[in-house]
Amino acid sequence: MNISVLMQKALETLIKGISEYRIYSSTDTTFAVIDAIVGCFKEAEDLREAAHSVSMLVESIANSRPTSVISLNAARRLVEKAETLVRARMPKESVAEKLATEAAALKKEIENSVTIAAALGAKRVRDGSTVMTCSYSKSVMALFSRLKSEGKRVRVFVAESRPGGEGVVTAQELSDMGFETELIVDSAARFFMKDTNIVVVGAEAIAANGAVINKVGTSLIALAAYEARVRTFVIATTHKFSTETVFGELVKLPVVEGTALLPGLEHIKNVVAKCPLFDVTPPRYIDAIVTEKGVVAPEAVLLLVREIYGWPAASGDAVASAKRLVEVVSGGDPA
Amino acid sequence: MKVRGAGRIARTAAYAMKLAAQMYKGSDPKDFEEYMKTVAEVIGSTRPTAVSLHNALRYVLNRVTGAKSLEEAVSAAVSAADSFIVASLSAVKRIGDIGSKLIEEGDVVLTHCNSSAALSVLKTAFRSGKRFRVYATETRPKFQGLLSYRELAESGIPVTLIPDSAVRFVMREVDKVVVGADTVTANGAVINKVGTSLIALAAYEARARFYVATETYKFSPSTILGELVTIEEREPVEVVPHDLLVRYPNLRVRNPAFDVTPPEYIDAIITERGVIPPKAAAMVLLEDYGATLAEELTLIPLDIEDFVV
Repeated sequence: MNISVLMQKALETLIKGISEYRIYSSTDTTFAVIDAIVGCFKEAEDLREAAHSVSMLVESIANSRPTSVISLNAARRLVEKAETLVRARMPKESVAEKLATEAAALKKEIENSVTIAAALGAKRVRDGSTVMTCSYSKSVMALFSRLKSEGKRVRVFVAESRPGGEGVVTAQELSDMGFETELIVDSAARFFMKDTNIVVVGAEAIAANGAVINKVGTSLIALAAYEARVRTFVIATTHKFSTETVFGELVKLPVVEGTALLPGLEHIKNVVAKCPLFDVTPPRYIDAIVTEKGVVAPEAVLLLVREIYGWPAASGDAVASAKRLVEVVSGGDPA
Repeated sequence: MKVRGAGRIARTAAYAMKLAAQMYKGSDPKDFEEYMKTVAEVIGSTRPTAVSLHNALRYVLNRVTGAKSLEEAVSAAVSAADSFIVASLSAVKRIGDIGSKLIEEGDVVLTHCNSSAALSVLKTAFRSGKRFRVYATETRPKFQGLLSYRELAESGIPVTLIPDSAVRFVMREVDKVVVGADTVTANGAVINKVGTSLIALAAYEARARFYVATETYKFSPSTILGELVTIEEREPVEVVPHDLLVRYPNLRVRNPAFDVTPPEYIDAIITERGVIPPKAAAMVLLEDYGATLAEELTLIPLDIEDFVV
């Protein structure tokens, strides 16, 4: 056994939370994954156990929440850092310490990016306008904080965003922030689009062609907005760009079977139900993606990403990186 | 609210008109006409927004006007009420027979809410031996989609429940959408359970066919006179629990019961009289209510001096 029972239990709880959509914000998911990777190195008996735990974690996330590109991108960065440290023959304690520093820097970097993107996005929301949003997004909440600090008064329609229904949480927080908030069922998006000036949503991931993967229902809202000539903006930092899609990989969209994620129907028996968690909004329905590096057309996100990942983008595969780490720790050197 | 369902409401109203006609004690056909109008007003006031009820009343009234003798007028009212009731009862079956021909072997069909006319189409098609599968939306806030799910599943039709937000996600698999209607307007727009218009839009985008199955007494004659259909907003507690509203006093819940699907997104309306293009709705209305509509037009004052600038 390469992983202690205790650590396996802890990781399984986290993975369950992510795959069953109890942690829904992609930024929260990422931070949880970052903490868990650091935790693996801190809590493990030795580097072997740490590497195996991290590998199990990354593989589970990649399988259960393959859309969370930002989690996988962050995981890859930490795992590759760990590999460098291990190759430099550092003891476990030092690796853990250095990794914790790297993790803190990464979190700070993501937080700062969200703040900048939110500030840019806030410029597009006029005082007195009506916004429609869905799901729960840290980036969208940051945008509203910004609007509040700028003294802009806006009205917000929030779709409850089933399955999960986390739009209710968004509506609660926005109403507490003092925004005139109106919660609607997902079906009512087109009904209220005629009263909406701008749609603002977050993103789970961005594909190479500029398509946005986000909570299921986003593409319906974007479609209704497009029909009504209402602009749709996506707030997403460049960390959410999926480098794999540059090489033709499709982003896998998880579908949860059954009614567990449908509040009010959780306990209904003998019903065949299918709950996709995410859908794909084509770039033609998106007016701009607001990143920490600027507001760009969805098709132009590649330009920004080129600066970060190079061109052609360095192929990013967190699972492969984690497997390599295991081999390096085990004494093999697949370099 | 003891009588529920558009069809039953309409039949009850027609039956009440029949009883009223039989109980008339006067002797003058003109007076009988006025009497029936008063009765219709009283019955109509019980449910001001139910199109089916008002149409049942209009259907009977339309056939009372212009009678030469009292006997003729009374028997016209009675037979109109009877024929309305019979037509209404057989309409859902007729719609099923006609609409089932539009379903093809291997289709993937999506339905929304719980419409007896739409389900009649699907069940009739299945009984005729066609094999297809269905997506039923849960239909927030009141989950009427679950009723459709159960009814279809009990008939042996493979059906999958999806959240309303997943409609565009599944639309690329869907060949046909079949929904019911609450009201059909003169220009062919369909008022139905909220979300219908979003589904129609997604179907239009994906080039899936969009059919509305409905009895013709859901067509609204008042819209031909320019009336707008009022869309009722229902209680917030249908969407979130009461205690949440107490905890977040600034949070409002908007809960429209219906939305409007424009005729552009509708391929056809399946009625008991046949499949019609949505924009031919006025044809049905003029055929059924032409006389009373013409009369109502005469009530519009022609004295427009006040408006001359």
